[in-house]
Amino acid sequence: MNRTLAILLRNPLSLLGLALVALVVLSAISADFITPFPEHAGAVVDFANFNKAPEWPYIMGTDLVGRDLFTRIVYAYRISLILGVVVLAIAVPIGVTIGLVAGYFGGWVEYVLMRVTDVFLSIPPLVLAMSMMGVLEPTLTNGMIAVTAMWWPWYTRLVYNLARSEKEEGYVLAAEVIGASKAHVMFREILPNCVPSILTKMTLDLGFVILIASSLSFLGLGVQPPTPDLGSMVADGAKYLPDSWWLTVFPGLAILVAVFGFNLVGDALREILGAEQ
Amino acid sequence: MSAPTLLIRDLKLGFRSYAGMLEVLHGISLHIAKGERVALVGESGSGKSVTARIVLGLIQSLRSARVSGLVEFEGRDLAKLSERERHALRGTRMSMIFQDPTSSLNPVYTIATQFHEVLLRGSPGISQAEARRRAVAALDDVAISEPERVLDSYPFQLSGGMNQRVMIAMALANEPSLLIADEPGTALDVTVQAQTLTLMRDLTERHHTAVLFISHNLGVVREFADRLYVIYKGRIVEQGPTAALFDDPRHPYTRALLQAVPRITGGGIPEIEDASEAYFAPLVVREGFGEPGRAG
Repeated sequence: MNRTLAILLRNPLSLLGLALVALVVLSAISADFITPFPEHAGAVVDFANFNKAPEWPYIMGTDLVGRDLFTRIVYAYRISLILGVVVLAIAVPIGVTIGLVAGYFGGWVEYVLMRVTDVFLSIPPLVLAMSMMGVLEPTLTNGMIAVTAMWWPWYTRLVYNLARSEKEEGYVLAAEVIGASKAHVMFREILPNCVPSILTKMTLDLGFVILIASSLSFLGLGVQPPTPDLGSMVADGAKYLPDSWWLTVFPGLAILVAVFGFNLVGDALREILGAEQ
Repeated sequence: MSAPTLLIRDLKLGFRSYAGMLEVLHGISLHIAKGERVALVGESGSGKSVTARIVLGLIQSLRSARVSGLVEFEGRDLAKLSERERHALRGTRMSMIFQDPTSSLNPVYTIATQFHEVLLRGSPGISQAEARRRAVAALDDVAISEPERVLDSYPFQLSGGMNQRVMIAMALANEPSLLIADEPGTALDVTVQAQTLTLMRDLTERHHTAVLFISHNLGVVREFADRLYVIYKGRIVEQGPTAALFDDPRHPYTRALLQAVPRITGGGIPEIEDASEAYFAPLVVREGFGEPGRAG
């Protein structure tokens, strides 16, 4: 534990990452209390104050129907985080299980599973998600499904490679010799040894899931109005550049902060877990 | 006379590959009586380790392997047992120790957790506390002075010698009747190797455990085994009691093997022919040490 702290403190970037992630997560959780106009997260219009440059109490200005941008960004964080967590909560168990089975069993099982995975990996992720969203209705749930479908193969490939090398370790053979079941060997012997890598990738990915989800809604295929979303905010504001710059700049910065923060934390985590191995 | 703990008769093993069948074992026969310590000696690739794995039933499940011949464990033909029954024998009636003790223990669990899992095989439903009590006793037996501290350690926090003793304790925890030791301690230095061998010898004697000791180290074998099988390229070439075999090797390959050991007194590395027609000479069995109940 002391070592963990020492590594964190030695690297100022890790601290910055932690601070950014804390900022994003805490603001998303307490959105109802810290935003000046919580009702602006929905379908509200206030034409008296539309398209205002940043000034008190609209610290980041207002959008084209007079809603507070700061409020909407904080609520968009909430949506993005939920999406990220749900996507990973579905994609990681699926990907990890398939990777474990393929890596441990080998033979034709491995061949079939990994070739299917390769097919998913061969399609550019955004294109796959876009085509899925094109067929499905663009809603938050379908957005999650689309992003999940493109995300699990990365975990399959990661865990497959780890499992391939771990299964050659002596403890796997030792477990088989004393009569451990295949499920026991996979989930109780091999999986715990893969956890550091999986955890690191998850933290890094949380940022990327937010980025991909924003890309989708930037293209109009993600979360639909009036639900606030960083990607669609950037897309809406882009038409009014450079005059109404706040419409684009603040949501864009918000995406940057989230992705950058999770990346720094992921790097720090890799260093900590790697050092303790 | 009761059935021997392990009886192998005319065991053949081949692997099917794209180039056809690759014969690995050409009909080997050996037997181990109850409580007997038997060594299987041979060079790398001679088929020692696969023999051990066949006994444990690990090779039979490979699709490419073709096994024929008789393998009887305590009078039961392993080939006639179901997968389930064979599975039930592993870890309870027979267990195994490996070359590298540190990698044989999972680095993410403490010794206590892994000991608990081993004991669960023998006594399903055993509680954490009871398992811990038995683990302490077992570690005591292998001369570990602070069993409580060791139990709360992870494998990488212990020395190789400690891990080896933990492995021995685990392997004997369920009182198996057969212990297969696949080159135990090869990864350790010689002083530690000597200690663990003495320990293993005492413990197996006390528990009346039969041992199949697989090794290429003749010095170790001489100290440990009652009886010796020499294996060369998938064939048993000579067998007999350890002392007699060392004093009077009768098979050309055994003689070559004994000469190949570098002397501590110096004199350079001995020059031995790598392969010779003479090594394929027929099996030499000492009088009175053939398989019981069979001529030869």
